[in-house]
Amino acid sequence: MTRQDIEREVRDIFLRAFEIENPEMDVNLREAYGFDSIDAIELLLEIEKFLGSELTQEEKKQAMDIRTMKQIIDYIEMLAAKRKTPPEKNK
Amino acid sequence: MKKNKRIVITGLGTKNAIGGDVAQFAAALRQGVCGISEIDLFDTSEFRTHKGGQIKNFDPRRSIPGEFSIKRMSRADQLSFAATVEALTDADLYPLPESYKENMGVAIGGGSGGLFEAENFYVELLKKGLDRSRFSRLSTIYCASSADRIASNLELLGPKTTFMTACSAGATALGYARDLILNGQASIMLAGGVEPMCRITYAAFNALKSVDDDVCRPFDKTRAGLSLGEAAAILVLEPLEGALARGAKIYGEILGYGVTCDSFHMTAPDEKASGAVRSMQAALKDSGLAASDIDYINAHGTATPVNDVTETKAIRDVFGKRAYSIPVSSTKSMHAHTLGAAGALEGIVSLLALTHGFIPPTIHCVTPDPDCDLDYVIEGSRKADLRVVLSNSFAFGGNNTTVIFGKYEGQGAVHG
Repeated sequence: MTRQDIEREVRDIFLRAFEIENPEMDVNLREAYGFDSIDAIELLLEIEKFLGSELTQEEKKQAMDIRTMKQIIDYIEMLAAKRKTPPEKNK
Repeated sequence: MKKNKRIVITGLGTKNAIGGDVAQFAAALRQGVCGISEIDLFDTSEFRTHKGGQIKNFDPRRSIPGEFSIKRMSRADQLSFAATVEALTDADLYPLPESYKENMGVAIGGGSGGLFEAENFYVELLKKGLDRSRFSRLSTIYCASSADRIASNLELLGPKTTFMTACSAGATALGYARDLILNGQASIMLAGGVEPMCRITYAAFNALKSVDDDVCRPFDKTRAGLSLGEAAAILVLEPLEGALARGAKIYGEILGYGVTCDSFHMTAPDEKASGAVRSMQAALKDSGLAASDIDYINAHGTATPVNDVTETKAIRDVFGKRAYSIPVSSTKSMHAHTLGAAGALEGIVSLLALTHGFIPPTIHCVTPDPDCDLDYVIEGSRKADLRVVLSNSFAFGGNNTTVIFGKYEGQGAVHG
């Protein structure tokens, strides 16, 4: 999964679920588009669907600081990479 | 209450089964159009009945200006806001000038609120599990959500409230809005009602066996219950002097209203009709009118066996012999019973009757019940120069409201 794939999916989620068309990469989503805490929780559900696996509590906590599109894409990229490389203990 | 002001209606907006807007609604009422058909909003195959007054092909994005997000708006919120925009535009108040926001309020009658979306949440939950269900669908479940969205979208700062007295809620909202203006607590009000269709309401009325499996037939001897419908109906209310000062068009006047209760039964009206009688009498008293002043009665007329005979008795008790010479019709035969919106929707009917000079018919009534012996306008709409119209809304729980509307003649008067 490339960064472009992730970006395309996130933009699709934003349009479909939050009625936000082509959000800018580096703006604060709450200030610019009224993206609120209910949206944030539903975004996590959408990310779980996209990745095909559930997020851990720790991973959900990491999402608390996200404010921009770029940070969302970074976050999903990190989650996807983690899932591609299983932790040592599971090998 | 000191009545030092006359309160007039300067804007109308609606979405209902026979009208995508007020102009279409007026034409349909005059033509006696039936809006009761097979429901496709949800699957009715498990229900005893399958018909209703559904608003077909409603596209919120075509009815709500693009500057307003429809995110997380329930069907009720969308319908009521679309009707609000139409009413404000009609009143020449859209976009709403800044100077109006501080003293403008909103009073809405409602019923099912965001239940349809909540049902969809539970469908999703049962299919996919809690972790895969969009819980934001529940955020508009409360009935006050529609008034909240109207107020927040328009940045209103005046009084805001929601009535939940079932089928009289929309009528009570109109009366209350009038009182707020008379009391000086608001200078202009949006008032009305909204009711969306949903499975729970549909199931409940089916369980009560209150629903006709075909189309409702008010006052007919074979009537077998009501037809459920959905609607939004919003009216702009303001003092006459304010309307004249800004050169607004004027549909008519709220002359008075009455609110009473039966304290009798959860779903049945008091068989002596005392609640309905007192409701009409209270409205007449509030209006300073005599029974002889009423030219047309827009009946509650649900087509349940018990309502129609009780309401007929109540009209006879209030108007005596004159009851036989007052046309009475139930427009629910066309737009169906829109519950929380009904009183406001039928307020619009009353104002259209006054301004367009006609009495809308009771359709589907072929042979009136011998116990329903008034003039129900069953032959089709009738031309009439009306001056005063009385509109009844008698709800479950014994919640009764009657509103009386008067023709306005003078600068700005609307003629259909």
